[in-house]
Amino acid sequence: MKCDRCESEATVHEVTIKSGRRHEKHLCERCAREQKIPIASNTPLTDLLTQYVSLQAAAKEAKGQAIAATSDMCPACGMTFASFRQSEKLGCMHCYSTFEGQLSKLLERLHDGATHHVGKTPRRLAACAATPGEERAGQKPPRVVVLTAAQLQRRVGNLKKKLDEAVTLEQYEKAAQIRDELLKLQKLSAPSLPGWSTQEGEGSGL
Amino acid sequence: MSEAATPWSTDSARRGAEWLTSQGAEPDVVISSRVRLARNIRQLPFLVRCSEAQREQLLTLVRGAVAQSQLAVHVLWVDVHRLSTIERMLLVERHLMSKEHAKGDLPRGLAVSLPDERLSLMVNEEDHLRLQVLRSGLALSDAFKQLDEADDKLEQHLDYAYSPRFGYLTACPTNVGTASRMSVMLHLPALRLTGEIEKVKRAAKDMGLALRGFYGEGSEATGDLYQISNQVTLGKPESVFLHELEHEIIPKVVQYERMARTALVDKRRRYTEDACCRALGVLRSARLLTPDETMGLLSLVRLGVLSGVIEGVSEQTVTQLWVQVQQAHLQRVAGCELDQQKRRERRADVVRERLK
Repeated sequence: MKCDRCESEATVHEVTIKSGRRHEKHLCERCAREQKIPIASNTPLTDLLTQYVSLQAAAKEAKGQAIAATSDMCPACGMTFASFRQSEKLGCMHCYSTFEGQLSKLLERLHDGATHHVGKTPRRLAACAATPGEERAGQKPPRVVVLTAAQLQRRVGNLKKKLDEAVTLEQYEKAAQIRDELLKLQKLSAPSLPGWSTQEGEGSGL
Repeated sequence: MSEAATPWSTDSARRGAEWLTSQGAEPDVVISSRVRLARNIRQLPFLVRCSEAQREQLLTLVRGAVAQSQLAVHVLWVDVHRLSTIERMLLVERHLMSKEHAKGDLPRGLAVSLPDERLSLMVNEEDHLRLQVLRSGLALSDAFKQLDEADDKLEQHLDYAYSPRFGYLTACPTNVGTASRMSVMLHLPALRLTGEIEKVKRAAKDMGLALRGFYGEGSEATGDLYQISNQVTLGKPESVFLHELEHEIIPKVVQYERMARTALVDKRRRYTEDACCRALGVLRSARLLTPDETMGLLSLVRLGVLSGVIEGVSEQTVTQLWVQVQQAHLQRVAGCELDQQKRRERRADVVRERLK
C-alpha cells in the first residue's frame, strides 16, 4: 500500500472512529511524523532498556555539569570563591575541600611551594591511625558478606526473575538497577571455590 | 577563680608584665618569645559564617573545655565583650590579646593563666581559638612545649577541624597547616642607629619571615622593638620552624645587634653617650610626653644602661615602662579616664617617678 500523501510505501496506519464514521490514514514514516502521528515502535524491550539507561547516564552527566557550574559555592556554608578572594577568610572547614583546586595554587604561593601538611596531628586521629581497623569517627566500616556458590546462584536467579518482572511492568529505572546488580554479581562469580566474600557499601540492595 | 590580681587591676598595671622582666636567654636583645596556635571546632562554621548564637555556643563550649583541662593552677575567664574599653585596651597592651579581639560587641572570650599571664586563649578572634604562650627572653622551645601540652589537654574536650592534607584548618589559608606562629620580640637600637636595620629587614624578607612592630600585625616599630616571626605554616613540622628561628636566625640577629652596640661604644663613644644621656635627661625632666617619644627615649636609655654608658638606672625598670606608659595602663593607675593632654602629663609624671 502506498502512502496517502506520497509515493512511498505506507508503514503507519491510523484508524479513528469519529461520530460513528471510520477514518483511515495510511502514511509513510516521514509523512506520519509531519502529521505528528505517534509511531509505535517495534524496538525490542531490551533495546528500550539500553536506551533508557543511556538516557539516564546522559541526564546524570548533564546534572554533573550543572553541579560543576555551581561548584564555586561551598555546599556547607554557601561561601563562594569570589567572596573568599575579597575577605581572605574561608567560611568553614569544608571550603578547603570545595575549593581544593584553587586553594592548592594559592597555598603553594603562600607557603613557599608547600602543598601538604607536615607536623602535629590531633592526638585523637593519631590514635586511630595507630590501631588499624578501628572505627574512625563518623565512618561506618564496610559490611562483609560471605556467600557460597549455591547462594550466589540463587541470588542471580532471583535477580533475573525480578528483572523480567520489572521489564514487563515497564519499570525501567528499577530494571536498570537490577541489571547493574546482576552485572556486579556475575563479575564476581565463576569461582570454583566453595565460598567467597565481597565487600558491600551501604545501600547495595543485596 | 584566682585570688591574684587580675590583668586589668591597678596592682597589675603598676607591676608591668612578667614577660618584660628580662629573664630567659639573651635578655639584652631578646625581650620576649611568643608562640601561638590557631584552632577551629569541627562542628561549627568559621567565624565569618557564625551567627551570634553560634558564637555564644563556642564561648560555652571552650569555657567548659578550659575548666576541665587544668591548663594552669589559676585560669581566669573573661567575657571580653562585656569589658569596658579601657579594660580591653589594658589586655592588648599586656599582649594578652590582639587589637582585633578588643573590637566590637559580638561574643568573644579570653582565658588567662594567673598570676604569670604566660598562657592566654582568645575565643572567637579570627579563628575559634587562638592559644598563646608568652615568655621573657629567648625561650621559644619552652614556650612551645607549654603550648603543645595545653593544646593536647584542650583537644580531649574539643573536636578540632583537621585534614590530613592541609593540617589544622584555619579561617585564613595563611595559617593553615601547623597553624602555629612563633615570634620573638627584639630590641635593636644599635642596628637602627647605625642604619644596619634595613639589612635585617631585607634578610628577614628573603628568609620568608615577617618583621613587625611592638603590637604585631600592622604596627610600627616603636622604641626600636621588632617582632620577627615565621610566615609559612605548611610543609614543615613545628620543630623545624622552632629550630630555625631559635637556633639559626635569632642568634645571628642578636650577634649583629651586639656587634653594632660594641662598635657604637668603641668608635663613637661621645655620640652614643650624648644620645643615651640626653634621652635620660629628657625623660627625667619632661612634663609632657607623647607615647612615641617616650618609647624612643626609653629605647636609648636601655641601650645606655646595657652598654655601661648610663649608671644608676635599672634595665628592668626601663623595660617595664614600655608597657606602663601605654594609655590604658596610665588610666587604670590613675583610676579614671584621661584625655590626651592629661595622659601626656600623667605619662611624664610616671616616667619621672620611676627614673628619679
